[in-house]
Amino acid sequence: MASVATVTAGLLLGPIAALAQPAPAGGGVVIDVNATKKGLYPIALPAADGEAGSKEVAQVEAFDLGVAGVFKVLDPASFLADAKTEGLSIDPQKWKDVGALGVVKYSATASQVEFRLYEVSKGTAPVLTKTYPRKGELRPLVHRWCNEVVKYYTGEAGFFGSKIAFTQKGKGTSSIYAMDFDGNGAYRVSNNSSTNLLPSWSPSGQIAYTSFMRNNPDLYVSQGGGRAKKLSSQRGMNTGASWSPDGSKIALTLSKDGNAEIYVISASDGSIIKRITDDRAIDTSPAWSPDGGQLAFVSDRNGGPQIFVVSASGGTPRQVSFNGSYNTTPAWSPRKGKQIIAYTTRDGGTYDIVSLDLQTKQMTRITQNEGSNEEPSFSPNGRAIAFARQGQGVFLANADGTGKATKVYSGSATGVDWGPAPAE
Amino acid sequence: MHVVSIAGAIAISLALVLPTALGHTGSVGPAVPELAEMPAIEASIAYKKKDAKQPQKQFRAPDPLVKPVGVSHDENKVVTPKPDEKDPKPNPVVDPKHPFVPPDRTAVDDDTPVGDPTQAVGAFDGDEFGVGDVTKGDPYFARLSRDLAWQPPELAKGTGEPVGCIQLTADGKIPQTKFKVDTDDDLGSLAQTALKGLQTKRNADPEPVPTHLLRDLTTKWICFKFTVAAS
Repeated sequence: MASVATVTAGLLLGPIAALAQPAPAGGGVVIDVNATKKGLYPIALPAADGEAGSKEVAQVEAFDLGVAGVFKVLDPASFLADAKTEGLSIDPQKWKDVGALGVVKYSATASQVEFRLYEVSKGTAPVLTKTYPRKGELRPLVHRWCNEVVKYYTGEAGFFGSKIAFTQKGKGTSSIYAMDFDGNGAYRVSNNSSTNLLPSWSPSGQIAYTSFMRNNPDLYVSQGGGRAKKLSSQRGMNTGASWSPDGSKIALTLSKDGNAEIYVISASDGSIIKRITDDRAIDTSPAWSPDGGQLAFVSDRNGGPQIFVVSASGGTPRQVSFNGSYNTTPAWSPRKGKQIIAYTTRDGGTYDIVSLDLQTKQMTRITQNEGSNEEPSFSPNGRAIAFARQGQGVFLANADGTGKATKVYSGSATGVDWGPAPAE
Repeated sequence: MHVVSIAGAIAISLALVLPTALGHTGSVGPAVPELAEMPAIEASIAYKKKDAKQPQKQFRAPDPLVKPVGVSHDENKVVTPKPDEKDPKPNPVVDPKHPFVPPDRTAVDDDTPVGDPTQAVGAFDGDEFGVGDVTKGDPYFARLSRDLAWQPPELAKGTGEPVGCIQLTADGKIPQTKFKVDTDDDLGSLAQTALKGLQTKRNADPEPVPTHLLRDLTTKWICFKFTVAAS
């Protein structure tokens, strides 16, 4: 069989296609199964046996890489290798046999934690090794290691160690809270008994939010534990703040002239820099694009609320969402080279999160058939999305729509906003 | 007395005969028309048809016989007689003691054990690879490729193009797999996983090979080249 044939299996499902290809060396007709790279990278995280803090390391590592948006953490029950026998090394074939492409090993002692990353196809030599001295909690240390793993594979900084802000509803009031991205260490940001809502992180880690503490919905900026600074107190609404990528400006909704319009103000003194929209409709929820050149916002100028995009220097807005009759709370993905907006869409009697690629017009569902979900916010590297599930809490999901959402905070939370990447 | 009887008999006879003789006209049936008033029905008479002559095809005289060139026309050639025919079929051997007892047909020479009926189309040749054009667009093969579920993840590394092969039996199981071209990268590992997954799936839930593909799919390795499309 030294022939070459064109073999097309036209009925192949998904992205697989069979095409004609020359036979490999040695002859024989082969069928070319061809697919685009898509989906999650299978990684094995075997727990080290019986060492100081080993269990906690394994748990934090599995959580972090599980919500990273790029990995599929394999079930330890399927592992063939014996942790004690292998130690910090690996038998590649045993990991190949369970479908792992990457394996993370670690060794925790009272003084340090050593991590090793293996690529199964590269044999027994680790491709990444880090040793951290143990000081204080193990969790931040494991976050640092997981950021290294994400950077090794994607070239992007990980988001482990970042924070998420949200509004926690109480009886007759609501407060601004912040917590670690994994739900740990939640603390109250607003220190008043009034209604506080719509928090927004600055690139440097400040939180702007709207508060009714002086009866009017004014904009405040938290000073990291101290008294919040009033930044904008125009008559009427001062709501829906969004920081520009360089942190020098804030886009928000003002209704000082009677109608809700989008404005850009100075982040340092609150002075109005530019009015962006001028329409009799309601314009709200501005969100900066990662390059600072555009703003997405919600307007009902064409009927129901829809997502529009306008130049950050003003101009004629263009509608970008066309699915359904109710789309709100847009958030831009920070991924470089991409133009992706996630937003809340009404789907029957509930709300779901979808993302829209403005270049390809491809829409991806982030949530479906699981409660009412709203107010998405991208992780600093754009690989994950945080959102609020009505009456349940804050969840994280992969931004590519794969996998299942993970709950990180239980409670009546709304207005989720993901903070900047942690300092390396 | 006699006179009275005779007179009575005469009276009764007259009463019976007289109306007929005088012409009775008081009938209640339909009036019969006169013959002249009846309608005439014409009836034709069959006659023998004369013989018709069918159109006749015109024949022409046959062409004169032309002997083919290259064939011997030597009328004096000596004909070599044909070799003798084979001996006629020998008579069956008959047991002289029991000439009419039929032979024992249960006795067989082959002592191999009797197995299940098979659709044997040729043994698997472990040195032959490929399936040829017969699989083109065939739904069976499409399902086989679908079950292969080749889907490299976004972060998979490597540029190799591994070629993995399976042996397929008539009942649709995969007894063995083999890599014709192996690559030392993620794609090679993923191809191994995909092939193993196909083997597990098909062995647990085999789909028999359709008859028209039996010879091509069960006698040689079926090979897949795993490639990545440009995104």
